[in-house]
Amino acid sequence: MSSRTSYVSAFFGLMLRDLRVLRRELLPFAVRIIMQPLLFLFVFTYVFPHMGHGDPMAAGGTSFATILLPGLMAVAIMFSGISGVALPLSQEFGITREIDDRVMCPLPVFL
Amino acid sequence: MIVDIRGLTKIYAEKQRVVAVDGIDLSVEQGEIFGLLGPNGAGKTTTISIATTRSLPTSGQVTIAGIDVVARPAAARRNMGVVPQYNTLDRSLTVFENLYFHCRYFGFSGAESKSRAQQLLQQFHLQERGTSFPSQLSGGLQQRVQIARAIAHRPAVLFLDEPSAGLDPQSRIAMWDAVKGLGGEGITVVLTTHYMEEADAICNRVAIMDHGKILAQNTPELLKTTLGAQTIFELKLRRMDGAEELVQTLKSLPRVASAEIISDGVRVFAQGSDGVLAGIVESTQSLGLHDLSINEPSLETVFIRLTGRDLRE
Repeated sequence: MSSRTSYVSAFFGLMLRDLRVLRRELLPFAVRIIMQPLLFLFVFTYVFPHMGHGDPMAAGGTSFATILLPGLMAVAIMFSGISGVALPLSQEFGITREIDDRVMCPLPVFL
Repeated sequence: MIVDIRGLTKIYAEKQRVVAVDGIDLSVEQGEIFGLLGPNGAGKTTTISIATTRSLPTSGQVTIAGIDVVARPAAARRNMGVVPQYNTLDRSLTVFENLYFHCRYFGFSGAESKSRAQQLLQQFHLQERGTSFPSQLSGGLQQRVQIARAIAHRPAVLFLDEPSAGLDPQSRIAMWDAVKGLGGEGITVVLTTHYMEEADAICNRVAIMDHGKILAQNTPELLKTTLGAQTIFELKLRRMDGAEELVQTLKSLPRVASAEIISDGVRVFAQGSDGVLAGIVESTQSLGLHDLSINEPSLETVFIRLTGRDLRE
């Protein structure tokens, strides 16, 4: 087997493993992904507007909803991206060491 | 040579300069079970982690099945299976999936991986445990799964880093049998340990290591005889009146190195026990020999002789 195809199949194997784990933990995963934007939505559209006198954010030309949606999307993508990668990674490298077998895959090392 | 280590050196140059491995040469033949012995901090684990591409050497070269581990780590990893000191089973996967996905990582097709995983479950008597998660297994079973997983991609060499740490005697014996079985399949095994009886029981050849250097390297039998480990005979006597003369006659027997008087008998040091025992028994008959114990030399004696009694940090 050439090294190129062996890299591809190793990568494919790792991805299959991640998909299997994701499917097994689908509900907690969904809750983790959905809860944060919902909370932000609650804070920005309900709590903040009721805090001040009137609605300061509605004063501009564009409506608040126009900027709120892309903002929430960006925040949700960034935070769930970081927590989805960094938390398991640091846990598996540090405490449980269970990533070792995947580290030993026949994949190139970039140093 | 399936594993070839030449002039391997590893220096940790952080706050304190530590020479973990100091220019060692080792070679392991195809199909051998090779033991690397040494006290804590001798450099065994460092050697293994360099050989398994998890750490870079300061200088020197390691080749596994002819592939340099520094130049071509990915290719070298296809030829080796690794069982580290700690449990590294994937906790979010079942035992079967651990084996299955390991095969996938190494480029097996789905069907191949499935049949290989089934076969390994059979081979390691884990059939009923296929659907359990690693956290539901005992330490001994987990270790067995780890060994099964390490050889799943049919490597030429299996590295075991202190495989019996924390196992009960039964699991340890089961593990030994598994490892010996692998030797029979033609898989070369390199293991580190500080249990001497383990090395004695399963290794074809051992190297004793301390302070980053190899002190001795040979078969366990030859190490025991050449490094001055002696068989000790303890003889309990009813009468001690002729003990002085007895010691002199014992000393003159062939292959007896020395003899001394202890409180209720004599102690004889000899090279091996073949042919010595009869002479000893005969010459002690007159003083009423009523008990005899023989201590065969152990690797432990050799090990302590080479590495000293000092406690390690």
